[in-house]
Amino acid sequence: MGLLDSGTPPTVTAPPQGKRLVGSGHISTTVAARARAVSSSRNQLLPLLPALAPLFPRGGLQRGSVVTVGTGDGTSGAGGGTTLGFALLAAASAASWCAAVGAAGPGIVAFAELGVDLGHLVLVPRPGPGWAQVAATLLDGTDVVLVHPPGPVRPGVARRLVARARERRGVLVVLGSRDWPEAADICLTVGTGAWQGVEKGHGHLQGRHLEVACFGRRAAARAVRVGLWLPDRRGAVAAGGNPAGREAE
Amino acid sequence: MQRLLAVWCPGILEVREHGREARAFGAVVAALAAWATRVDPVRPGVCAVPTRGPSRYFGGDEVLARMAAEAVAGAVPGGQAGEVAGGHGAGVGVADGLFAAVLAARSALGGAPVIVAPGGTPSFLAPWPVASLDRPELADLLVRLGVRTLGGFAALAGPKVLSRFGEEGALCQRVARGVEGELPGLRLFFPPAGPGTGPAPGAQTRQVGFWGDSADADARAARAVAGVQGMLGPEAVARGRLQGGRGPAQRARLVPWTGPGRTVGDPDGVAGEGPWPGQVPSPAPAVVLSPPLPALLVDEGGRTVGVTGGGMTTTGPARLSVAGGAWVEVTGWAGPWPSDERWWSVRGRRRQARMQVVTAHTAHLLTRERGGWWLEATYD
Repeated sequence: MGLLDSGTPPTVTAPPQGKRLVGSGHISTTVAARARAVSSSRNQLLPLLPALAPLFPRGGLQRGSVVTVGTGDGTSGAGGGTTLGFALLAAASAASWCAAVGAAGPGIVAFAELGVDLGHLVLVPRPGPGWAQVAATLLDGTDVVLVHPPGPVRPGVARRLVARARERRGVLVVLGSRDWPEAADICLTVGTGAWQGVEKGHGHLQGRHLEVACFGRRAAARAVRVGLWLPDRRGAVAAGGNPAGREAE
Repeated sequence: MQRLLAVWCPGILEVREHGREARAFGAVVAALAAWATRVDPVRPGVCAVPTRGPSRYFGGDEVLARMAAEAVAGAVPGGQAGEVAGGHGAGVGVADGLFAAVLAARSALGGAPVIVAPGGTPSFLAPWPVASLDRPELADLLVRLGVRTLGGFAALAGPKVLSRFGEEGALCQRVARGVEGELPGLRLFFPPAGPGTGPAPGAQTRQVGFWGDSADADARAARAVAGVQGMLGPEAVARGRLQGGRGPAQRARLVPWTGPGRTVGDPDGVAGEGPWPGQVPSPAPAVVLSPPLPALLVDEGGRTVGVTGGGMTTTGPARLSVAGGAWVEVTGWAGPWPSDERWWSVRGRRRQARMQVVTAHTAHLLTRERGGWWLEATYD
């Protein structure tokens, strides 16, 4: 008996509680996928895009772990780190809340093409000097937090963030491994990419082939190298052995 | 007390099968969000819109309620034109306070929206049975005392209600009197900020979140976002939203975070479709600079690369420098993609041309505008 289910109003009869199923034809499939994912939310692994799963020892993002993403030569940005970092969130964002702190020029269209659910992505593009506190706060409430520190991180700050990620069973993804003083559970290194599809004045960018190396602690101690299209011609991530094979298509 | 428009969809109050009801409710909220500045999901099947701003903007509660009824009719199953078979469809009501607004929406089911005039909440509530308060024990006691309606309950002496029924009974009486707007336990979703937003004690219904996952996760995320907004200000937290446009900066934008769920009625991707001549093909760049950085693009001889009115480059690019930085060699380029936006407007007209430029380590999207080159985005 109550406001919502019964309690006859004075002039209108209370509607019967129908058991009829409610149609859902016009809702997008991404929402349907999210609705089904309830049971997996407590699992220890968050899902990864299929092309990225071979990089990780258990095929998914381990809750309570830290992943760093960096380019081989350590130069900031421009080597594919941003694309790889957000690709790590893509599958998880279907059922979990994700956040990105300090990604100052977020390429929203690119993230959507990667498969990131924009409705589940909290963006704090300019957190200022308190970026670590912002990231810690977001680790309290979201499952994956990507941070792009503005410069070298002090060891104490990094340790506190790692502790928070472990305690809250979240995943911390750090863009720019050179600035991160702590050992990470997983270190991803992006090799030099080769953009395809552009010649001198012809075509358009159709994808970048690069090699991503993964090494880390415990189960990830043995390095793994995977060739990827990051992004492929639709902006998604695809496994790819070598660029030549792709061009033959 | 806040004046609210409530929407009540009896067919989706309980979530049964694979989140179908949650999805139908999502469609209802999205339909309202197409024009309402704020939509508060209260629980599955019930949401509220603060009417103060929208009513003033659209010309009154009646107009607003009609708009809401039309928007919801298209979204909720069985919502078309007064069809209430099987208890489906939706009701729209406007009143002071959430409790009265939901009751108004309930009594509007299958008919025109019910609008309780400002200040009319006590007299509107008076004839409703005490069971409406959703407190079975309290209602049982009251009925045995001969108090059957909210009006009768409201008329009891306040101190006696407090001593006989405790704090909770006194709060229920304030709601019945129309002094308090909201009954504890009514909400299963909570506003992102504000005190006392923990889960209601005894909310035993299965909690299903805005989009079908656990409401707990949504509430945790909302609290974390509220914490960040408390540190940096409300504008510092954003979500991405796709829209139509040519360049990456126009095809999406950041909108301030207002709460869990989508703020707008367009699902991902839909708004970005459509013919946009001059749009640069996929994949999109992962870093979009706002504002763009000035750049220099020159040929072998050091002459600036220009773009003709016919959309051709005047010379082949060979070197690039961004924001006064070092020159890097250009290994490939594509485009230009010319676009002439708002050509009908003297002052708003933007003539641009975009080019993809590949260097040794990366690729950039450059824009030619007003005689200069700008670094608009990087394919990081």
